[in-house]
Amino acid sequence: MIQFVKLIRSLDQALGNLEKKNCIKEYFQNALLLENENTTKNLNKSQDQWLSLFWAIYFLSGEKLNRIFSSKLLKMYTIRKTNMPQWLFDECYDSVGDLAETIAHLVWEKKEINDDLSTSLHQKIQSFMEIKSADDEKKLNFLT
Amino acid sequence: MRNDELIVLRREGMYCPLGGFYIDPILPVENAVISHGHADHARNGHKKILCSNRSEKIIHHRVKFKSIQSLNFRERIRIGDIYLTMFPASHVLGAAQILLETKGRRWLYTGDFRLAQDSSCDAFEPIKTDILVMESTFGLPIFRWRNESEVFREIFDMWENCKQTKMNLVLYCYSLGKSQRILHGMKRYFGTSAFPGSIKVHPSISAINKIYKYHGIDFPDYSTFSLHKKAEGSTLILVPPSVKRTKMIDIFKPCIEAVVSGWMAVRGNRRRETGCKGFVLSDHADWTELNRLVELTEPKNVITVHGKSNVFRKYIEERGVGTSDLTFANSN
Repeated sequence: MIQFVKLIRSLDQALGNLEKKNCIKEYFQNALLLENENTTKNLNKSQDQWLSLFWAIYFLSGEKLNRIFSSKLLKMYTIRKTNMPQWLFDECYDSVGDLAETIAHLVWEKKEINDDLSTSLHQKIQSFMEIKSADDEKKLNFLT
Repeated sequence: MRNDELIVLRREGMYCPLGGFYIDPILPVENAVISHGHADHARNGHKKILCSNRSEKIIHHRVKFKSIQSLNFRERIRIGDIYLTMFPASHVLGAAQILLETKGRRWLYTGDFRLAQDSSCDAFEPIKTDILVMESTFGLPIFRWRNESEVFREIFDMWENCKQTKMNLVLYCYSLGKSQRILHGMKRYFGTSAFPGSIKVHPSISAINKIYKYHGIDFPDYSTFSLHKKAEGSTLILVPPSVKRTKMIDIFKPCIEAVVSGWMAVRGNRRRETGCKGFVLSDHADWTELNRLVELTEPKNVITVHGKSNVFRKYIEERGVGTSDLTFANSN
């Protein structure tokens, strides 16, 4: 999942389609351990690794998961985690203009890559699917 | 205006009635105490200026005035019925906090400040005070800076990447403070032998560099670029933001352009810098440091100025810190 997070960050900073294509190409070359564009050194991967690559292609193609956490829930999670008043959250949202980015800024913690990133992308998506039909309180506990 | 107010607000800016001087005024005045050399604090046209010793050459270079006097940090002088002392604020070389004292009352104006250590300027010194007048440029919790070493690593990695692609890396950064911090930091963190290429700077940055060097700040080797000679590949080029989208950029191409500023933390701000990447590096205190300053100075009352002053004020008020505004008084 660390590689996927780095890919998303690179795409966010990329200027122009050519740079974005190169970021994606590099990601898959590393993920598939390609020696050059055409040959593969080692295709012996676990099912989890292949499924994580499938999810990467799924999201990069513009597909989305059906809403698992509502905006209201994500906002509640952020306020609960940061212990900040609602009005301050609203001020931050006004300044940033995007809910996901606002939450990312507020919940980010100054530390090295945390345990969460050692989970594979597939495992992360699996855990979201498992919590999908739970009630709001269970979902909040899951996020926290 | 109450008798116990050591700073009030006038049309020209902050004014100390007992001392008869302004602090960082926005209009030309007779007597001005200037916290540091940035253009929004040090303006042209004052008759007499008082600044820190470490700021004097910078202000001489950037501002028109009649006469200038400077003070060492921690040196206390009397002006009228007020005692004034300057303490380092970090931010840029020579930036000062200004402490005003009279008959048991203490007011501290921070100017622009930062708490994190930065060896390109003097370390911040916390001072206890009764009334704290503080800046709050980045007074929102979305602004929390990473360690500068991580940002310098990002800049260095991009510079190395430029070497592979035979491009130059152009960094847009303020000619006072940010540029010097980057140059000093690149040498400090990576050493000159590791540099992927040479360094060139805009003449306005070169002029400030000389002043920093005079005060003992160390830089790697660099040259001032010429408008008549194209920069060769893998050069790191530092220019002020005013150069963006001008013809001058042509001598740097092919290049990657990047803005170095705390405002780059917000994606919308990065997107507005069309064609530029963004590195999040600021010379101002972030949300954590703004709150920490209030703890360190233990004020009875806080007055917030600049930036998100209302937001930060409301936040600390809800946490039991007394706050107020500067009183507006008519100019004579």
